Amino acid sequence: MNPIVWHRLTRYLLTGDVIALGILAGRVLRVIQLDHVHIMGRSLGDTDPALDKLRARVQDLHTRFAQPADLDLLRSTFPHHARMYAERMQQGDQCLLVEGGSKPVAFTWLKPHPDVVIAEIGCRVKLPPQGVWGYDTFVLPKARLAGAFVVLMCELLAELRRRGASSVFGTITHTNRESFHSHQRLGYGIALTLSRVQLPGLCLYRILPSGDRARCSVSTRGAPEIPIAAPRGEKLGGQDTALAGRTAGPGPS
Amino acid sequence: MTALPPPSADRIRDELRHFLARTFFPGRDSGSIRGEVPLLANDILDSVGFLELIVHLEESYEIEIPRADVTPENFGTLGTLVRYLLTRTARA
Repeated sequence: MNPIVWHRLTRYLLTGDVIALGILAGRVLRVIQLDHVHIMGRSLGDTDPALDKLRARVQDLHTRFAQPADLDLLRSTFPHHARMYAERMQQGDQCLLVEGGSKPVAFTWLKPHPDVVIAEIGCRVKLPPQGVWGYDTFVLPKARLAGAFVVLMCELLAELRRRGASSVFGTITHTNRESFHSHQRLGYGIALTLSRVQLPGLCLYRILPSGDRARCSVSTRGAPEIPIAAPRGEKLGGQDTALAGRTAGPGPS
Repeated sequence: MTALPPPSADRIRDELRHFLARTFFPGRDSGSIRGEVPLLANDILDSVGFLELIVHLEESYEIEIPRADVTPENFGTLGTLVRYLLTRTARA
């Protein structure tokens, strides 16, 4: 048995938590499915000298926006979502590429409109004015120690500032701790945590704004449309500077 | 004037532990970051933190770390990183 499941089973049996036992059994038997995503965001007010310093360290990588003529290159380099690239471009989504020499090593996608459907969880979110949605950020494993992620995100933030965007958002899967910490160090903070509980014939959504459990709400009427507030202040997540010490990790919510 | 001797393994190890604890785990005892703990596979360094570490090492030890040296063999654990820095500072 999975050690985490074993640990929880023991704990729930010892404490007599019947509801937790039922949920655990449902998940093990795949009757209940739980999905969590964090929506993280940051404002685009001022630049961050510490980030700029990191960006300046990586001189051999540059960025550009992909064009339709790059579709074959995208498909062969990043095959994981290859069948969707043409459709994304037709919808007006834009792909920012990081290249080393002439070969792409990382990318991220941008949606230019404020209504976004989060495919992982089936919710629709509405961004604040001049908010931008970023998604499907990927760095080839061989480029992960070379600073490609930092180049990608710094150039993305700079480009969005040039366009007059006010804030940028995206989802981080609950279990992707490295991506969570990387975004946190870039000044992102949790704007919302969304959970979906699927039972046979029933689907519940829990919406937890910025870790504020007092404002938690539950929707039982299908996929909700969720407005996201503009980030307050320069940084989210309670950090004074983007590269300050790491705060609490993405624990279960 | 005589040049300063290269730093010892113990000094490098202590300095790195303090940097990692201060930068990535505020409030955590630096001694808990042990030499054999994987830095990259154990959620200690994310992509951004790794680049921060490189910049810190270049500034602190006045060395330039070429791309070819940035490998799991050199940066995989605190122990391998100390060995790498010993060779680099001895060479410098």
